[in-house]
Amino acid sequence: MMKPILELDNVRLYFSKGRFRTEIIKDVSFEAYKDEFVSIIGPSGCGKSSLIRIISGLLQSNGGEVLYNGAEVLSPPRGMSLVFQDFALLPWLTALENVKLALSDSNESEESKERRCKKMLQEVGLKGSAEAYPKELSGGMKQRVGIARALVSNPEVLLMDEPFSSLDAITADQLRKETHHLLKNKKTSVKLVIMVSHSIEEVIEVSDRIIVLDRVPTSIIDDIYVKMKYPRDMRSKQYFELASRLRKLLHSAQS
Amino acid sequence: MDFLSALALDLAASWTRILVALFASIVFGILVGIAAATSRVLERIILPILDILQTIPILGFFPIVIFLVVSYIPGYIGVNIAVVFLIFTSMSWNIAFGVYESAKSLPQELHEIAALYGLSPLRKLLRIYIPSALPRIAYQSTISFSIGLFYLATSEIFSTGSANFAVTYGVGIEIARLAASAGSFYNYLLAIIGFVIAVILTRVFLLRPFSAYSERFSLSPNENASESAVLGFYSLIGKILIKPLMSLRPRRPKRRVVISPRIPQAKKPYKLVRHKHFAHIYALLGALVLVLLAILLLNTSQLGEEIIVLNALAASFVRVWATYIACAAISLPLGICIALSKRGFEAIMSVLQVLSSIPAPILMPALIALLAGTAFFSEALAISVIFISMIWYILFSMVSGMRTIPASIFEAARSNRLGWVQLWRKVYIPASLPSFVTGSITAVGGAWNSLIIAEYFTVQSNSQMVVLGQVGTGIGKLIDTAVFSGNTSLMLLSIISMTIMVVVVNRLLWQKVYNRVTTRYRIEV
Ligand SMILES: Nc1ncnc2c1ncn2[C@@H]1O[C@H](COP(=O)(O)OP(=O)(O)OP(=O)(O)O)[C@@H](O)[C@H]1O
Ligand SMILES: [Mg+2]
Repeated sequence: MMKPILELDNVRLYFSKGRFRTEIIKDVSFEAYKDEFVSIIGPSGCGKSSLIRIISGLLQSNGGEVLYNGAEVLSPPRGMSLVFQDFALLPWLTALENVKLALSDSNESEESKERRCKKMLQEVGLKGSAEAYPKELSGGMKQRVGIARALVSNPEVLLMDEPFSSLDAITADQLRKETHHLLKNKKTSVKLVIMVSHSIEEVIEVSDRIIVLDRVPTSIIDDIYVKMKYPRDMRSKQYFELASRLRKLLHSAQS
Repeated sequence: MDFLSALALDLAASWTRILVALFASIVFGILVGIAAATSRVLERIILPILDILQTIPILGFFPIVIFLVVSYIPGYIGVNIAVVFLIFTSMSWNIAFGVYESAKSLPQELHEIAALYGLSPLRKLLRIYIPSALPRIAYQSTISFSIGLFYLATSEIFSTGSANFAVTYGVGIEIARLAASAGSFYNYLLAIIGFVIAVILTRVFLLRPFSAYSERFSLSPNENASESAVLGFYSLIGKILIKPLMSLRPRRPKRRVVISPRIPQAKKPYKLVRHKHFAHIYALLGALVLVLLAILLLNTSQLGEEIIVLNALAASFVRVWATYIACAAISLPLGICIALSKRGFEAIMSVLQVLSSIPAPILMPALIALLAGTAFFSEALAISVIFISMIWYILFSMVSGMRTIPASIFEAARSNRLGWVQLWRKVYIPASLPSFVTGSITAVGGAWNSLIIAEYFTVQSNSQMVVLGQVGTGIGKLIDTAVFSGNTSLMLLSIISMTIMVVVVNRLLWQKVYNRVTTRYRIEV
């Protein structure tokens, strides 16, 4: 039996404000294994971002635990990277410097860091823009920098919080395809991807496994393994069935 | 009369002054702000004047104002007019700018509605311009009130320096009196507590309900709408008593319905007007230089005094900027730590809000007691007062600025496991720069204002003028002594020289730093 890379065990979360306590995550448990592309989908405000922040070690849960390769996650571990919905680039650093930020805890030489970052930027299709500042880049290019920053440290687990939802439909589509291609063809160090999304089409297009969350306070209401070949055929019967199943689930979760 | 009722009387007098000034500022702000927003001609006259008003050290002019007003209207009426006028000047530009900006950014739809229904100009003013400006007016009033407290205390204390100008009642006087007669520490503490309570009461019963009320008119969605339990009570009374007035309220838009995302979010006490032309600044400078020359030429006996003035100006310049550097070195890291603190942020902020409501001049008796006997007593006193007048501007500007930065920026830093040094150098300090610079501009401006009391602190004791602290030389001291000795030309010379210096530094230094920092380091939300 293969050991999971990531284990979530009865993770719970609430926010307290004064005397009031709002339960956000009731109980979430799952295990994720090597070579999985897992999507987490759920109605808006159900706690998807909170969940992925707990996994990444940015937020502490109020119960249960997250294990990464058997060790409890208490702070952002080496080996995990996060891609943000709003890119989270520092506007006073160039694209290259933003990517280099991810290598600040490695003891490589400056030249080798720089070389790797440039290569990474090239890989995500930003060859000529290393010296550009974020505000000179389009939304799609900004997220390319965000992805390069997440990949340059050779992470084992890539976490993404709605990485394409700040982009226009066409740009999102293209970047999603490219990213999926990059990750699936074993060109990177990434062994496990966890992506949060609220788009049914998006998750069917890229996922090996889809976890569906309930409305807040959330828990898992379905965990679907998708056995279709890539690239996924939008006109196939399987696609249609999966889409309507997800639509039903989300509809019942929302109301 | 026992001390407590005397204190209550003083507080009542002070609060009457500041509330009259606040009310006058709001009326003035509405009229002038809307005039500037609706007429191109008026806009080109009013904006430069407001910009000048926020740049020049208004308190420096207080001695002239009080000198002039009292010579025409002697007695307590004249003194009170001068004090209220001074507080008014310190508050009104701020509110007028706010009204102007909100009227200027009125969504096109509202203009179209007004045209469609053929609203008369008066009705448009009452139904559209004023209601839509209310949130900004409320917000600016809160800031103006804090600024006004400083001017209130300073002008009251200053006025007691000479029997001719002294106001009869006011907390400032109480403080000055207590400073003169040592040993009444208990009374002094009571006076400060009374002052703080009055500030808190004003906030709870006036400013906060006003903000909460005004948010109904807000055109932009506001997550952290301020709450006020008092407002509910007021509106109950209001419904009974002034029902007809309530019909003024526009049909309330549903919360979270965005009419326009163009409403400016800028909420800074200091607004750098980003014009490409600085004609009005140069005109001001030119006029000031001309007046300066005129004084010198008409009054050749004063020629030597220009050296004294320059000397004093240089001394004050060093004093202000040295203190600023020390203050910046402390408040930059402190402001970042406060802004980023998660637990206890609310608690820290409420403590800071109470502390900051005590204007530096009111702390002078405590400072004098604390510093008495030290080697450079007067210098230390001046520097402490300048320091205290500066630090709050910087801290509050940083906290409010940094709290609007999206959390993901800091999360990105954490998830990339930045080390301590990298975190501060690459993330925290750059992110804080825009709000730090904005706060600094206001802080240094405030410091120049505080000089007339920081550098020369005198009180009346048994009809005798007692000097409690005076620096070797400084422009604030020079202005004060010129006023008290009736040397008009020296007074004008000093004030004009100081104003020229402040305007030049603003133009040559701050404007450049501000432009650079806001283009490079501003995080677009
Ligand atoms: N710091 C906080 N304090 C209190 N409540 C919070 C906080 N952060 C998030 N919440 C609440 O927790 C719930 C879940 O938020 P979260 O951002 O994780 O949801 P989400 O599923 O990512 O939403 P979206 O679809 O909008 O991205 C929301 O209802 C939100 O209002
Ligand atoms: Mg989210």
